[in-house]
Amino acid sequence: MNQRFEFKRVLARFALEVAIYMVLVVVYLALVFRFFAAELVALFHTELVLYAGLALSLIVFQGFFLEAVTSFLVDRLNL
Amino acid sequence: MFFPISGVHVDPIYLVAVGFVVGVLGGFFGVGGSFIAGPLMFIAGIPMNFVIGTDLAHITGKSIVAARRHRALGHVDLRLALIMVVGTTLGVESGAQIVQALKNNHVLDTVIAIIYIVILIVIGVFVAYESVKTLRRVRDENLTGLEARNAIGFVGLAKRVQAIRIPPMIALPASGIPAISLWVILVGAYVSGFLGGLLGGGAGYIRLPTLIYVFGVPTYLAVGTDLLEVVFSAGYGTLTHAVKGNVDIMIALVMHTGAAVGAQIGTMATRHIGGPKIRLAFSALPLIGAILVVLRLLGLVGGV
Repeated sequence: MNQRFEFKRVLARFALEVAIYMVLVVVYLALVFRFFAAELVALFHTELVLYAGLALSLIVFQGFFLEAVTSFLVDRLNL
Repeated sequence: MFFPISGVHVDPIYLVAVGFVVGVLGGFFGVGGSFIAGPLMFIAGIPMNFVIGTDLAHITGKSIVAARRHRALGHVDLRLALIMVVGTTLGVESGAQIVQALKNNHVLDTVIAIIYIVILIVIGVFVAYESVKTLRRVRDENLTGLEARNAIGFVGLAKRVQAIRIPPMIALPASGIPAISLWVILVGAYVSGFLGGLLGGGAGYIRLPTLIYVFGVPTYLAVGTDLLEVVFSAGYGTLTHAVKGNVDIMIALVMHTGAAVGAQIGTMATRHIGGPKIRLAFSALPLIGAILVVLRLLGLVGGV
């Protein structure tokens, strides 16, 4: 009975984390696409070396940023 | 949603879901999950050159944090990782050059898809065989608890490889290896780098078994060392493929959002489940990936 209750609790918190996370991600991606999309496409067609450096920097930055967000949510929700 | 760099329409929710699945696999098994991400991107209608380059970019973002965590826990053989970077980088560049040549000859999609199918079937069959062998070993030797969970099927291969005496011989004290030929390490690293550059992703599906079964690195160190290697190989792969016009960073950024949360779930799951039975279940995934590529080649699926 306790195990079932614990499972339901973890599931509810997970659903909450995903919901909060999705809102944050939608806002984040909207900002990235709003401010970077046109420049990235232009760079891709004109300056591939610069595009390559920027692409790597963006994905590395996002790696650290989203890890911080998910860790914060997991810690806060005690998953 | 239209992605102007690669010129494809893909549902972003699909990309986030693919990233999530790959993230769970990465957190759970310690591999990047490119063997399933590649086919899933390919059936979505993304051209193969963008599948390869974009997969490498998304894997870079995912692995960098995981590698940092493993390094902090002391789960990385730094000496081995740094030696392997040399072979891996050369391998990635060779793979990327072949992709470029195939792209110029307009045969990239078909050739890479066929290589994908072969590699995925080999991985699936190998993992299934190894898991069954390990389960038999666990039963025959009456292993229980942590011993049963950490048991592996091939214990003699690493000893035979370490007996190869081609100088220079080096010691890897962190991994408990007294002497191993430098050339063996470089060749192993080159092969994994080559597959990463050719098919995309971190090629953990080949590097991890190489570290554990061929070099004899303990599993917990192999996972961390592999992740550090993936950071270098996928990072370099991203750069070289981006310069060749094979990376749609916007797709990679969307996919990575799903991977970030998936990785947390996968890591949490390893606290509760693990061992050879799970590896046996895992063996079905590369085979599913192979079926997806076959379906796309036959034109039965495509476009999400």
